[in-house]
Amino acid sequence: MKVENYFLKYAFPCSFVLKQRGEIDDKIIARLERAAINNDKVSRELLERVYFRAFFRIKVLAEELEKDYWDLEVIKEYFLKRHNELLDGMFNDKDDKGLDVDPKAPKFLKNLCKVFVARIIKKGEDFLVVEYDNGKRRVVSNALVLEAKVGDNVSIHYGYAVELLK
Amino acid sequence: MCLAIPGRIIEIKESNAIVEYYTSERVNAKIVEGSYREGDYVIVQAKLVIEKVPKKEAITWLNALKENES
Repeated sequence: MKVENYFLKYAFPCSFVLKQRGEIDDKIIARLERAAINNDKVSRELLERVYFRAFFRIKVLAEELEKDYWDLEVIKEYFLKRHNELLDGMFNDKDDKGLDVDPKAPKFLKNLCKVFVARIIKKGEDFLVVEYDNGKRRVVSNALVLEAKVGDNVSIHYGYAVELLK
Repeated sequence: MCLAIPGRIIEIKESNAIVEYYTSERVNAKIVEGSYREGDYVIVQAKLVIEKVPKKEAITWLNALKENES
């Protein structure tokens, strides 16, 4: 899979919030959704424009890791680790303009934005029921991991299972 | 960074919920797990009801969102 598509699968679940904020429209959402599900070619320029908040932080991380900011290892580390650290407010970056991490955001809603490792306990035609973080349950779309089955571990972000994990 | 926006269930028919947002937009979503009632605040994605949001937290957050917009 191309790094652009890997990024998009993790980033896409938040797109509908950008739409509710009026930052992107239905046409772009549809395009991103198609590309996420079908692994369509998607341009870095579009991704960097839509997910500018993420790339602000990814660039900071890339500099720390001394890698290019589109390096797959940087993108992986961002979603599987740094993203949650930022949400927990653990990461203290003097240059971080605090774009969007609202300290008043309720803990429950922050949990939706974290990326978790989850185990599949039930599978339906278009959904999975997963268990994560010591007994929490969530319903997620399986559109990005159609091959996943009960007993598998997947990463989840918001309302999607994103990646089948070994 | 994503921060979820909860909607309120205004009607449930069998396993279909109609969820309304503070923008007055309404969406249909399928309930596939757990039990829900009209008036519950929920997160919807991919036409699925993902999770329930505790009412107090949902209202506090929605008020903060509306305040930011004005």
